[in-house]
Amino acid sequence: MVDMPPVVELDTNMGAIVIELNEEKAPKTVENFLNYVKSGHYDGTIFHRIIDGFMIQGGGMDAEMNEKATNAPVENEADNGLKNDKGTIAMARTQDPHSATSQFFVNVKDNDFLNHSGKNMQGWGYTVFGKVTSGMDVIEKMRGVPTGRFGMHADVPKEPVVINSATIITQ
Amino acid sequence: MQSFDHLITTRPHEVRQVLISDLHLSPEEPALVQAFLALLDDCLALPTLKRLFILGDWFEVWIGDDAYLLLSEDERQTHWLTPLIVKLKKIRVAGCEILVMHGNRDFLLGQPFCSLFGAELIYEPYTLSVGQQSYRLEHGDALCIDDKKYQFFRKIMRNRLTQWYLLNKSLEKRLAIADKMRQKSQQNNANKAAYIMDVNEDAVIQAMADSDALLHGHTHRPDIHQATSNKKRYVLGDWRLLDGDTRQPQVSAVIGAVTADEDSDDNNAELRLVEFNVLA
Repeated sequence: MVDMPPVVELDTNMGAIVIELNEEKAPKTVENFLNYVKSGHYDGTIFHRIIDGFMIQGGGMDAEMNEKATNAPVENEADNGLKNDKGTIAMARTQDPHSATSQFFVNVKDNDFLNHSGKNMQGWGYTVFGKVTSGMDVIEKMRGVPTGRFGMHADVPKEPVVINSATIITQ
Repeated sequence: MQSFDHLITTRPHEVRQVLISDLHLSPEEPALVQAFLALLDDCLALPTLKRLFILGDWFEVWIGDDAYLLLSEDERQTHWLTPLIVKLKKIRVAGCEILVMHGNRDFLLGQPFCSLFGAELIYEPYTLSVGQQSYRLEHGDALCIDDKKYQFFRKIMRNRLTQWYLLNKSLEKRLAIADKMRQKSQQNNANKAAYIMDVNEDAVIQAMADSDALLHGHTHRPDIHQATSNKKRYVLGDWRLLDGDTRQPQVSAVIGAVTADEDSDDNNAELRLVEFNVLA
């Protein structure tokens, strides 16, 4: 049965961002992401790491920079052929290729070096699981916000960029 | 001169940009390669580092990106460049931009290779704002206009057609050509007076007309010069293996660092030359 791809809307304090998820190419990652959306995990989280010319990352911290509890990590699916091009959404993770939980990022440039190049620690890459279909103008505003240090975190927006809610529009 | 170690251990949060040049890396100089990796490790530990500039002669020779890009995954695993690419990628993912400029040795370096680690190939002259000042960045070889032989050679080498011609030759042929060119260069340099291999003062003044300061490498004579009454010329140093025959060899290089007070929006940023030292 071929369904329409799931679509999620992020309602932020800087505007709405609509993301179409590629369930076919990143089934585990999309399932993981939708679980967080359904449980309300993303509501009240912020984009805590914004680097202009690179990406905007969020979905893990609240406005006080406290990390929200997450589920078990999801397997890396970066070998699905999808590229970290401008406007795509991918999973953030630690050095461990299979450590992604709830944090994601939107590429604001074609970041080739994040793509899968081999099944080894350095080459695994970051799983792309969807793309922004509406709201790139919001992302363009977000990428330029003033940032600074917050404790041991760098590139933290001085004024919180908040995800008020994340909702599934179609599934 | 202040040591880079001292700077990064006393004021790590203030180091915003690092500028290096003239490493002349090759598999024949493992100590220099390790020293570069050590610098990258230092950079990874700097919480607000925004840019790393590599301003030419990063590699002793570069015969084309394909020498690395066409390797199989297995061949790459054991290649000397791979640890550099891995570490540079880490720096990029941590949010630091990497900007690479051609030198007279590695002018065939391409964007495809740089994209492996998210770096951007930049062209001279590059204008960098440091605080209220505008710095002109270039490799430096274009300023040695007294070396007419070299400038003639440079004109040919930097020509797109020449590069297209070279890159169309097989890797083996290119290696042979590179070897011959280096031999010839060494022979020629042995016969040249020291002054023609340094920058020409008039060329410097002309180049700096629209900038507040100039920074370059190439001459392997690190220093800060008063180019005009109110403009300075900063020269980065080459990476040198010292005491190579002793039990404690070390690599030393004069590099550039831009620092700014925290929360200052970089309005009072300043550039300084510091000495990078690491035990080999």
